Amino acid sequence: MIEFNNKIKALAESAETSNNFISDGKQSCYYHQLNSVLKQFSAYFKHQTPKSANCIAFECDNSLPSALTLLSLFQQGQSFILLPPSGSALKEPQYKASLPLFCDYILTVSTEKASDYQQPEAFLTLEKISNTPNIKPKLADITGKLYVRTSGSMGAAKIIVHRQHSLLHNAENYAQRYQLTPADHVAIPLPIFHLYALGAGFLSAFCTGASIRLLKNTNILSYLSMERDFKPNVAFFTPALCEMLLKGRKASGGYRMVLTSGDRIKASVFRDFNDKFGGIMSQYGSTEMGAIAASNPDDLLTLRLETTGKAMTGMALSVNDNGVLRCKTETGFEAYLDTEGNILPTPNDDGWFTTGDLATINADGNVVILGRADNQVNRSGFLVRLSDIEEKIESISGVLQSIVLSPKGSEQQGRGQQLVAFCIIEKNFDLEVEKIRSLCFSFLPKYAIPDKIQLLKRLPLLANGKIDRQLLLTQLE
Amino acid sequence: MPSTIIPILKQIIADELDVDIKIADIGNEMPLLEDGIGLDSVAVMEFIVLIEKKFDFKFSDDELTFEPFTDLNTLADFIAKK
Repeated sequence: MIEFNNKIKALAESAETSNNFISDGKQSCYYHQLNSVLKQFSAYFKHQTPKSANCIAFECDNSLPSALTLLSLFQQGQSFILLPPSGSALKEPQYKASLPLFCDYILTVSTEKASDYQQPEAFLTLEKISNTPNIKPKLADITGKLYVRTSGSMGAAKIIVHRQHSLLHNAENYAQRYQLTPADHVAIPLPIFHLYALGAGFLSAFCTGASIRLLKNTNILSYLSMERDFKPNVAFFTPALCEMLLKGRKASGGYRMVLTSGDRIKASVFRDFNDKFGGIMSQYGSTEMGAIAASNPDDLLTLRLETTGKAMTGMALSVNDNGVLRCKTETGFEAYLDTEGNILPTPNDDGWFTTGDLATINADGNVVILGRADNQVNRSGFLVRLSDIEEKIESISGVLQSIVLSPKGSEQQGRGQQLVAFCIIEKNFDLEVEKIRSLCFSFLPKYAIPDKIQLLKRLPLLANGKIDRQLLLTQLE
Repeated sequence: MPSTIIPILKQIIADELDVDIKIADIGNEMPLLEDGIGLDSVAVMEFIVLIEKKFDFKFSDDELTFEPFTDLNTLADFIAKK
């Protein structure tokens, strides 16, 4: 990709960026080294795959060798699908069976052998998948793609097709919104095999030429150690990480911007984090469209707290008659594929992509996300948003988190679907189900009071850190 | 005294953290993180909070490193000096 090569050249030569670096804590690569390092990688791939592969399944972790491999795949326009590191599962047949049929190679990074990131041949293993049925994705062009497997908690797995050049274009856009500069030190403690940490975090920081620190196995100990040595002023977080740092770090200050995305963040956590550490702001996006809206670091706290900011550049937004947010952009995903590479129909609303989230757009263009459209139920003739009930319950002191679900097929005579509230209570806090229930009566209308309240020790999470609501329902007593 | 501290730490791990392990199965030299007892990021944070409460001291930011959290022996030694 000529554009990408020019970018690398510019980053390597500019006095502002050439001495910045990408690091995993063990090794660092300076931008001025990138050109020659990436040449090693492309030589490796040329040697291994004389003819280009349809799709490489790349097991990517938050290490410098993985990050450089990623950049090399982008540089070559080699199509790939990102996977979490599987360890020993690699050789098992069911692992291969879980890959899309058009994947013809598996690429893994051996951490033990990766002591020198300039020698990809020592730590990369590219393995041809045997007995592949030689299927190609049914796309006009199969080069330069990034495939993303959807979590598929419901129904068959779908594969989302992104164009690599669109992802890079978006990343430059995001960097402008976050006001990233080459002087920034950007911490990425979330796995870059997910699109949020990759596109919004890693690629946007990379396009800016900022110094980047990847962190794997994030916990409070590894995070604080990283902070001591890297001194980040920008970080890409989830609400859970915000809570961790609030609980775990005593000293205040340090951050120009912390972006949070994914689950809803509690207002109190947002405020406390902002007071203690610096400018927190949220972003809203989807795997299909990437970032859709994000705050601006200059926005006032109330605006950053109450909205997720304005649409990203090049992203048109509207709310349909049912209150559901739609968006339109040239640089979103290209198509959905099934695992055999056939194009699946995309619900197309005149070029608009329907997000499935309820939202309002304020007169000044700031977006307020209200929750999933399928997370509202009819109760006694009233439309109830489950996220509204969750927020009310979380306002009870001692309730750390609440998730309200409505089990399918639980309709009661005249009342509508049942509501179940799962609550996580603060350690050593004396709060019982009856007490929560009676408090609910004081701030919720009768039709919105959960039929059942169940206390849990912790919530089940999906691999991407979001709450696994399907699994949660199976824990219903 | 580290020897009196270890049983308390074991009791926290087995009874108060959401970890699937019995007191009898926790060894003093078992790594606390990944391969040993396997405390995940949420459990590590919870563990720290509970230790601070039970032993009535606060870890400084600089003390929160992997070293004291290597195993129960190192952690008990650390707490004993507080």
